[in-house]
Amino acid sequence: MRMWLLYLVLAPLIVLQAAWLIYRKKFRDTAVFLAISLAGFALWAGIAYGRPIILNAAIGRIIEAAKALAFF
Amino acid sequence: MISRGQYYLLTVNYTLGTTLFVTINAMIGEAGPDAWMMPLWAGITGMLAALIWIALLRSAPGRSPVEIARDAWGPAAGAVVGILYLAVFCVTAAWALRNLSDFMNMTIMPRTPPSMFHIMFLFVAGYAVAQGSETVGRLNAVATPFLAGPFWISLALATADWDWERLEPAFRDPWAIFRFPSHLGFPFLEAFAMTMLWPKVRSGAAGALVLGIASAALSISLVVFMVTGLLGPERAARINYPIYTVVQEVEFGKALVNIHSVLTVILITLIFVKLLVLLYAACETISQLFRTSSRWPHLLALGILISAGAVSIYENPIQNRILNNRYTFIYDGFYAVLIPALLLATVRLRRALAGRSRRR
Repeated sequence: MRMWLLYLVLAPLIVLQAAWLIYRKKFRDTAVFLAISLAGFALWAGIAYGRPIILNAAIGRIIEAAKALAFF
Repeated sequence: MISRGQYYLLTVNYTLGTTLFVTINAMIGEAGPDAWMMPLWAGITGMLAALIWIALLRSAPGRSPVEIARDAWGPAAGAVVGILYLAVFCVTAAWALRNLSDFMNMTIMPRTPPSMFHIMFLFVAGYAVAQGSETVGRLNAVATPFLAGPFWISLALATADWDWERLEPAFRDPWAIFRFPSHLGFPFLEAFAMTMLWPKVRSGAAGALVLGIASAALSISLVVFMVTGLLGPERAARINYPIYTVVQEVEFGKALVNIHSVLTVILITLIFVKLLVLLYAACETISQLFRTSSRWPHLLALGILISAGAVSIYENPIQNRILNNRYTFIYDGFYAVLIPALLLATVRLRRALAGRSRRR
C-alpha cells in the first residue's frame, strides 16, 4: 500500500518534470534532475518498505571503514 | 548581491539554528555548571576554521569553494569535492528538518506526521531560494529583530526563578569540551555552508563571517548560562528542550501565559533560516558543478531527496546523540577543515611554482 502511494505521488512528479526538461532540450539539467530525484526516490522506497537507510549510521560506518584503512 | 550586515545576520541565525534545540541539555549534562564555557571554546575553534575558509576564498575572489576545488584539483577531483559538498549540505538540511519535526511532535503538535513539517518547510524555503540570494539575505534581515527581541525578553522574564547556587561549583571543569569534541564540530564548523554565499557579498564578508560566529558563540553561551541558573544542571540535563521548559514556566500577569508559543515560533524560524542557507548552498553547488540552466527542477529534486533524508537520518534521538558524540567532529572536521586546508595549500603551492617558473 505504502509503495503504491509512493509511486502514485513521486513517479508522476519525477517523470513529468523530466519530460518537460527534455522537451525544452535541457539534457544536462534532465540528467542532474533524474540523478538527484531518483536518489531521493530510492531513500523513500527504503522507508516505504520498512527498511530505511539510516544516513547517520551509514556515515558512521564510512568513518569506521576510513579509520580502519588509515590505521591498517 | 547581499550586504555585509545581511551576511552577518545570516551567519548568526544559521549557527544558532538547531543548536538551541539539540545541544543545550547535552552540554549541561556533560559539563555541569561550567557548560556555558563549552560554546565559547567551540566558537573559537569555529573562528579559527573560518580563517582558513577566508584565506581560501580570498585566494580566488568571486569563486566559491566548489569552483576553487575544480580550478585547483582539476575537473574530476573537483567534481568529487563538489558532490561531497552537495551531499553534506543535503544531509545537514535533513538533520535540521528532523530536529524540527522531533521538537514539534514532542511539544505542541504530537499528531502531525513529521513529513508534513519537512515538506511544508522545504516548499517555502525552495520558493525563497528560487528568488535568489537577495531574497534570502533580506528575509533573514527583516525577521531577525522579531526573533532576537522576543527571545531575550522571554528569557529575561523567566529570571524570576534565578538562583546563583545552581551555577556552583564554578570553574571546576572549564576544559570539558576536550572530553566531548563533538561540540567543536557542531554547530560552528557547519557554518562552512556560509562560504557558498561569500561570492554574493558586496564587501567585508570576512569580518561579518568571523563576527557572526563569535556572536552566535556568545549567544549560545549566554543561553546555556541562563538555563543552568534557572533549572539547575541536574534538571536541565534531563529535559529534552530546556529552553522551552524555562519559558513554559513563565507567567506574566493573567494575560500572557503562553509565552512558550512565541519561543516555538522563534525556534522554528531559526531552523527555517538554517534550511534556507543549506538549500541555497546545495542549489548553488548543483548549478556551479553541472552548469545547469534552470533552478526550480533542481529544487524539486532536492526537496524529494531532503524530505526522504529527514525521515531516515536517524532512528531515534538516543541513537542520534550516540552517533553524534562519536563521529560529528571527524565528519565536520573532514569537510570544513581538512579539504579547505588542502585546497588552500594546493592554491598557494601552484602560485609559488608559477611565480618561480615566471622568474626563470
